[in-house]
Amino acid sequence: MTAAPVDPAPRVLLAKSFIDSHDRAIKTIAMALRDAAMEVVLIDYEVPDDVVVAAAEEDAEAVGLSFMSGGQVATTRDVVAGLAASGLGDVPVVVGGTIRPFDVPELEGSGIRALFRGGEALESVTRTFRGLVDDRRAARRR
Amino acid sequence: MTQVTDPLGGSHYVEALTDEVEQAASELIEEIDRRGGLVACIESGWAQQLVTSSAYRWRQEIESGERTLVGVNRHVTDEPDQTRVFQPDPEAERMALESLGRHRAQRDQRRCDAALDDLRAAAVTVAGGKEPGSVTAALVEAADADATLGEMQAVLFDVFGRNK
Repeated sequence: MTAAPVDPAPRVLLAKSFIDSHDRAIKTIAMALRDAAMEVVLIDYEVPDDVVVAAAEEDAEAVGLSFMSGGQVATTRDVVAGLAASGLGDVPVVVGGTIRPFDVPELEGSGIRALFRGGEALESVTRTFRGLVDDRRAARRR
Repeated sequence: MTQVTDPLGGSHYVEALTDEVEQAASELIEEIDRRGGLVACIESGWAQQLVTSSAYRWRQEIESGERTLVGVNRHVTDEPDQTRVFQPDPEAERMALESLGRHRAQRDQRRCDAALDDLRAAAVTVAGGKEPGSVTAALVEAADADATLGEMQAVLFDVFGRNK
């Protein structure tokens, strides 16, 4: 009798702008994802396309963008569009950080799959990432 | 209370807490010294790891209720948040770009280019490490020649690389 194949750990790319030194949140999320048995790649990007390139190179199954400063809507749109243009349109993008209320509708309409505005339970964040990766894997098997 | 420097001085309770902080800080400083000093600890990533672990532990303590943060996990209000968030004028970006364009069109371009070349030369000297130097004077000169912050940064990034 052979054991059932074990699914590999989800690979999550977490990214923030290199110019924003606020790394407490993104690193906390990285630790939580790691403790939830996921593999995390953490990068600082200079331009949104750096995220797309890293997602491709690292075989990321989900991308998390952390924002503690402005440019959130434009950057998120660029990353989502860049992933789609690279054939990675099915890689779910999650946004978290200090999100101003008037940016919420635009972010939610930008093609992201989840938005965390701070204070969310870590367990809820890790469950969201795992769920998105599971969904993507299931869709790719069909 | 305000007439003396340390009104709680001598209080066993406060002094014990102070001793506790002092001892923990001293242990940390000794540990850093054992590991070759602060620079070595930053270069190895040990110091950042310590900060990250502490942030993660703090978050877990907030979520479990082990650590109280009034308004976050204790005595949380259900009143809707009335904070008014500043919303920048959507026109601000266009106006700033126009202003930048005007600035570039009106400056003495030759003087600006020369100042940026001097900045590059100064940066190369510093990066080479062969002789002590500073880019500060060249930065001041470039700013006087109406170079933009972005243009000056571009030169420094080019020579030194980005801060990772």
